[in-house]
Amino acid sequence: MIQLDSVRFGYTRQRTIYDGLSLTLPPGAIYGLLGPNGAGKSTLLRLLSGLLFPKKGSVRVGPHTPGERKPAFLEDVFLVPEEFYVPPVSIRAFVQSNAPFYPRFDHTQFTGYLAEFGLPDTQKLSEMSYGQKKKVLIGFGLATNTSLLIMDEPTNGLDIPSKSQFRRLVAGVADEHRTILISTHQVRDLETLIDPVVILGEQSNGSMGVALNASVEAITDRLWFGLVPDLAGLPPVLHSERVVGGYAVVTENHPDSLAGQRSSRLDLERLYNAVQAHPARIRQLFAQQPQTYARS
Amino acid sequence: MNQTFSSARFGRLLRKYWQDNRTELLTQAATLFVIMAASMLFLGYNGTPESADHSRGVALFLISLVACPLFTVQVASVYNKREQGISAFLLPASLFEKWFLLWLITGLGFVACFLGSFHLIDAVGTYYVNHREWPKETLLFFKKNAMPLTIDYFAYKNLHQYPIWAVWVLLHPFALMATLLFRRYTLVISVLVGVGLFLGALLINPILGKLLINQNIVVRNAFPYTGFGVFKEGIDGTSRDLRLPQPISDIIRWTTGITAVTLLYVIAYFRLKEREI
Repeated sequence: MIQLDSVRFGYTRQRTIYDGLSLTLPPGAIYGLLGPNGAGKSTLLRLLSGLLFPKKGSVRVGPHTPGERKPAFLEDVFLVPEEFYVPPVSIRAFVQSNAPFYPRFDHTQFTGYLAEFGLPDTQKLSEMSYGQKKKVLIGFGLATNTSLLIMDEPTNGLDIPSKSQFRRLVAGVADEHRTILISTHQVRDLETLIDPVVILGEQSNGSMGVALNASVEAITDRLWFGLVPDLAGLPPVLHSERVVGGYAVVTENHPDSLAGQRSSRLDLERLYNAVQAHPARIRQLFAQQPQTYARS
Repeated sequence: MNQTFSSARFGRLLRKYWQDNRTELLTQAATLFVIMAASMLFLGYNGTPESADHSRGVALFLISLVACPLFTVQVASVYNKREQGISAFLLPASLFEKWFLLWLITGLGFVACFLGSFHLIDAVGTYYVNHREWPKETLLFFKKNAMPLTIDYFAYKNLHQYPIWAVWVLLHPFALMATLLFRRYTLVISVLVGVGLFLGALLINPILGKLLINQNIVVRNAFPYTGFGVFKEGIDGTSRDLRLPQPISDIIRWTTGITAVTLLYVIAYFRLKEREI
């Protein structure tokens, strides 16, 4: 269980990124963390991994306080940062020197990931492309079997086939004990993988807060995503976008409307836009009990 | 497993450090050896045996004065760089183990490598000096001035007499502390602060001396960790070297030295503990 309680954090005194941020993430899910540039997604990930300390409030990851940086915590968390450093050694040497730090590291699992990504373990990390290095780090992170796996923009730099490989591999390691937290702007890459979705947005006091934290089921229960020829007769529209043949819309899911009688598929990009455009209404909608009548 | 120190975990940390940085460390050791060999063999051992004996001590001090902080800053500034720092901080080991690794590599490791190189070069240099064939006139000159024809291998027995040893001992903890204290322009700021503190001590010492002894004295030498050289008109025209009686002198010297070194290492540890990245 990840628990942030009234967290305050800012890099400077003048600008506070978070003021009173509270968030609870139960284990056993692949969380998608979305937010605008500068919203503090990477900051949040670094607070969770103990690289930054909250100025006020508390951060707990399971029984640990990340800021204490105790070995017991560090061997149960793995972070794949967006920009990372790898030593100038072969993949084999990298694994030999790093794997012993992680008690649940599975060598067979890692070999499987390397084979999947088509990387020989004799290859030197310094001679690889950014995307290849990232694949090694992602594979290593998955094979550590830590309770918390954090990835910051993991699909940046991955080629098209690797993105689907990534989704398959991550989905394969998810279980009820493991929490995977992925921060991304590439929502299309991870649409089918992440559930629940956490979206950060600006609060009334100017700092960033959680604008949405809901499962895909809850989202599609309360919102309707679809294509319509025109906007007339729709329930309150939270986001609309002109596309070929009409409008792509996100509306409230009203059971008496035509939209409410059809099931819809989550569109993360449009959800994100709807949340940023109408944060108060979204908060209101998701504070209510599920509308079980919404989908037939 | 102990959350502060575990020998198994520290062993893993040490192995990883060596495996990841082997090429870089060996290159740095080779560079240090070449620079030391070039400066000592061509400049030090090429003069008279007497000057060779003196210049190798100067070389020992001057080269280490530059190399020790440079190496320390280079190794410890991993924690100042974002990508490398993330990787180093998230490695499952305690902060004490990470600090101790820094101390071991930049302190003990450097000293072992530096002194090993120094003695190897000194062995070659001493052999060269002792087997040189001098022209007759030079031999006569040596004899006339009672100058030695040979030298012994470098020994440390008289090193404690040089005040500079204190600077040398303080150098490593200061460099380690400064690297973890100043995140940007580490080397430049560290050098400026170090030189500033040293000059500050040189300026403050005579003032303190005058306040403690007599306003009318002229201070000739107030180098930290040495006797206090003073001169007063009208006594006998010579300067006097004032020293505290033993064992008070040694007690103060050792207490202040050990306290300063300990404090610097403790500050370095807490800076590492508080470092955000």
